[in-house]
Amino acid sequence: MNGKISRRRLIETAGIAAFASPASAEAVMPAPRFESKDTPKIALSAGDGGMPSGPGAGVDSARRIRQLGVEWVLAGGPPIPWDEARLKELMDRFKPSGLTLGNLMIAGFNNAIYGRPGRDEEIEKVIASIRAAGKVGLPVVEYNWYAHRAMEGYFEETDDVRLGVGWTGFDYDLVRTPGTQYSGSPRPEEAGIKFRDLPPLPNEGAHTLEEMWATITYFLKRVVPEAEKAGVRLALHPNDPPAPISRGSQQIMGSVEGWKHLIEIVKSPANGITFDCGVTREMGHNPVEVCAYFASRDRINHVHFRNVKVKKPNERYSEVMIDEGDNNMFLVMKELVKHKYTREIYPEHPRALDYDRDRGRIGGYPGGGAYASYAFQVGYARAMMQAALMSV
Amino acid sequence: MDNPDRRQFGKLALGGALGTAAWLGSAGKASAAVHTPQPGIKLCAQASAKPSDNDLLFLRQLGAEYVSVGSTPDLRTAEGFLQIKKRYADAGITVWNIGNTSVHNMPEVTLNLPGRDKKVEEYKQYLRNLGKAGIYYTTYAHMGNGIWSSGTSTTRGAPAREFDMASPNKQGVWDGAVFKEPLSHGREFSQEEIWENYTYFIKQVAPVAEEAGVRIGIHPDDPPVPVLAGVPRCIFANFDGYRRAMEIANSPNVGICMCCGTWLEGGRELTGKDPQEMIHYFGAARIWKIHFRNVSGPLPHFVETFMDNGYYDMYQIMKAMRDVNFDGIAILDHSPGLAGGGNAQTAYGFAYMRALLNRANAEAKA
Repeated sequence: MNGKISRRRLIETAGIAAFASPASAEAVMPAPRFESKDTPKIALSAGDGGMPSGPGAGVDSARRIRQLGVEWVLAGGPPIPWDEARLKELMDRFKPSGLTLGNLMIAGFNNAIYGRPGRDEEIEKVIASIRAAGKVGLPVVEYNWYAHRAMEGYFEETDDVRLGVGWTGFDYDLVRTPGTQYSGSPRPEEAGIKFRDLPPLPNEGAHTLEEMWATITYFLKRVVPEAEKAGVRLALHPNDPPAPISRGSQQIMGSVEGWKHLIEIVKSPANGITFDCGVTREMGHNPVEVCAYFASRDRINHVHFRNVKVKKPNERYSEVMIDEGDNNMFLVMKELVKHKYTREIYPEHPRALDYDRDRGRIGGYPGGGAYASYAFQVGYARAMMQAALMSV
Repeated sequence: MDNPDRRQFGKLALGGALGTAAWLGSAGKASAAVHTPQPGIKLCAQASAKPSDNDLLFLRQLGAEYVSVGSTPDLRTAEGFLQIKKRYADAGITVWNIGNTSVHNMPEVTLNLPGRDKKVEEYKQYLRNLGKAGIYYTTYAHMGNGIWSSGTSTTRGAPAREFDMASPNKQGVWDGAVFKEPLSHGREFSQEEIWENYTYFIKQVAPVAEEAGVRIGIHPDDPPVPVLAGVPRCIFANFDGYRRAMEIANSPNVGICMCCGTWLEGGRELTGKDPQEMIHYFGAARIWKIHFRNVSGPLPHFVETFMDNGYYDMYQIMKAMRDVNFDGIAILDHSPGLAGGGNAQTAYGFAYMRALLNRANAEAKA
């Protein structure tokens, strides 16, 4: 630009004798490290930019996500079987906002989970879906394997120190009473029963570890080779909450031993886990060690980054603000970076702030927050990631 | 909402605290020139002089235990400052600093304009009021023609302050006044004048600050361009200027407000030392407040960024603070405006700073 005042000229004006040669002086200014193709990617769920009222309510979710510096998202997938055109449309929807879809959750195969008739058809649909994912370049497909998810043990706790921040509490001994239980209406016949003693639901039944390992083995032997061919990685989410028994069923993904067994069933990077450092701690384990085990084997295909305070492993804990709790989040991040993990990290389960509560209904878990709280989670996670990139 | 009782908890806790809160600070008598703060780095939010209950709740829920506030004209008395302090103390939050834009940048003082002595007297009274209210720190700035911008750009799609030396639209603004090139005050001023005027001012106010027990941290000239509209920015725009200014003041109550954003606007060639080097050199004995902010690059053109995507690694600043056992406040400074609103912006920035501090503390222990 004509007449532009150069930096050299400014320095001359200042009458400052050069402290060093200009190039070297700037070169040693400590610059931050940024997210890149070789680093983990901080991600949000596509709906996490939602804000029912208040400032920026009219702005679309994608813009609010991008302004937090987040360039990767995850989402729930369409009903199976996924087809290529539909997935492409989904992937393309985010592109104008500068967002990349990095993980879709697949569901709709309960017969496969319970080992019931019809599972082969479901597995075919899953395989077709994964092939479609591969064709459109979706790198990760996440899934769950619950006999019953232990959500009746959830309740909202309040952090007195931070004046009413909402925590998601889990209590194996929680008694279902109106107003305290989370999932569904209490069944009259279950009044006064602790979560640990709740009977199986008729449509789910009670299942042992052996049964559940058998059904997932059947599934993985058929699906993983296809995922490998399609260039897609599967991420099995842990059983969260990792209660010992969930309505009469045992939980294959409710222990580190279970996670370790899972990756042995089919030995392929396509057969991986969602590493959740919060659930790891809920099960009484050090997430840094567990992270090292799975990351060194290249089996972490997705990450959930959150903190927790545990009173009794598997039975009583509270999901808390990311800047407090039992996990050293920096060491967890450092371990991921050390092992060159390059997929998504989701700083999930924000805590309820009154600012968010005042902006309308908050979906999700009891004690969970919305956009302002996600901003907090992302800010914290990003500082940890930049710090880890500088330290490893 | 499913559980209104629980939702009201925080608000009730705030209200309940009113009756029982300890009355902080022995207001009035400042026998020691320098109040010794609790050890440790204090993360601090910028907040309103008249916060709503919701504002207070939000700060507590973020984990903000300290605030730096500006004052409205009606509250610029010892009683007004006490009122601000009590409002926050009742919510469990410590007010570290109460600003007063009328005596922050004072062209009369910096440029020796008519009315200078009146402004100096106003400043002295401000210091005495702070002392009486038990506020032990204030920030002063010696900019003769305000803080300069050339417009608004965007960072990650969020509106952000921009400054470009080449822009015809650049102007300085302070407390309602606007300053433009070529000459903001009708003539060119010499560096000697700026130094003389600083000396005249600081020699008068330092003894009052000592008597009142208030520390004055001097903010750098933003942006640290050597001369703007005829006014040299020769003192608080580079390391040598600060060093000499501290020698002239020669007071335990005159120190530095290290605005890292401004300093990064300059870059090391202009400022002589980068933020971490400034912190290491002057230490906790002379730096009492740190402004956390980042920019796209050094002059002649910059855009304000979020802390994480500017050109400087902000952790180096936090680490330097830990190295020197900094015991003042680090404030969340201005940043690009998020579409989700100011609270989301504060949540983002505060969490980023908290993560840096947690890491710095963990490394210091290791």
